[in-house]
Amino acid sequence: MASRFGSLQQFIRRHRRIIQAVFFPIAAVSAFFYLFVLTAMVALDVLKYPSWFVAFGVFLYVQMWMIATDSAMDAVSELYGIKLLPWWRREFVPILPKRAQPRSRGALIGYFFLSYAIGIYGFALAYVAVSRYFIGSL
Amino acid sequence: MGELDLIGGIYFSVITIATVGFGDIVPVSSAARLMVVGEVLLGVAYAVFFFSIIASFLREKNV
Repeated sequence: MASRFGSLQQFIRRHRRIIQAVFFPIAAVSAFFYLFVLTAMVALDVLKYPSWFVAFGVFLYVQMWMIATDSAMDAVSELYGIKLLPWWRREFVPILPKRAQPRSRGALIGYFFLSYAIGIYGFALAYVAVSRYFIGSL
Repeated sequence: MGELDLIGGIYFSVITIATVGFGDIVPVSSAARLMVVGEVLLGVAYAVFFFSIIASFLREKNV
């Protein structure tokens, strides 16, 4: 298992520039679509999706909250100088590349507002979904 | 109120997290009420955190 990740890391190191130029923008755009647009479509019940698709939307929704928590914890750990990591970062640190911590105060505020905005959007989607799937909730 | 659209959801979310509570949209079911409780608590935590950032800025300036 470890050697498999080792070879993956070697591959990433060798092709870093190509990955940065091609893979990351595509991954960023598709991640944005999946996490923010697709979850909204599921919540709004735009199309009649099968139930597995709703489950997939919920799975993506959870990931959205993981990003919000991650950003908030980054900002909190920078502000108070404590090592605070959500469990998924602790578990997957050997696999994931080392993430840059926010150094400046501007980055700290950026992480805070990112988490805040995702939090508001996440709750908005939850309210929309509740009002549509459970009529009379709001 | 019936079904919320996305703008309505964002509006209600902002009004709730800011602990304003205009009352034009009201949670009726237990699930919706639990969500509102969670968001209000989160909003208070965010406000505390925001003011602690400002306080740390001011402390650094004074030192």
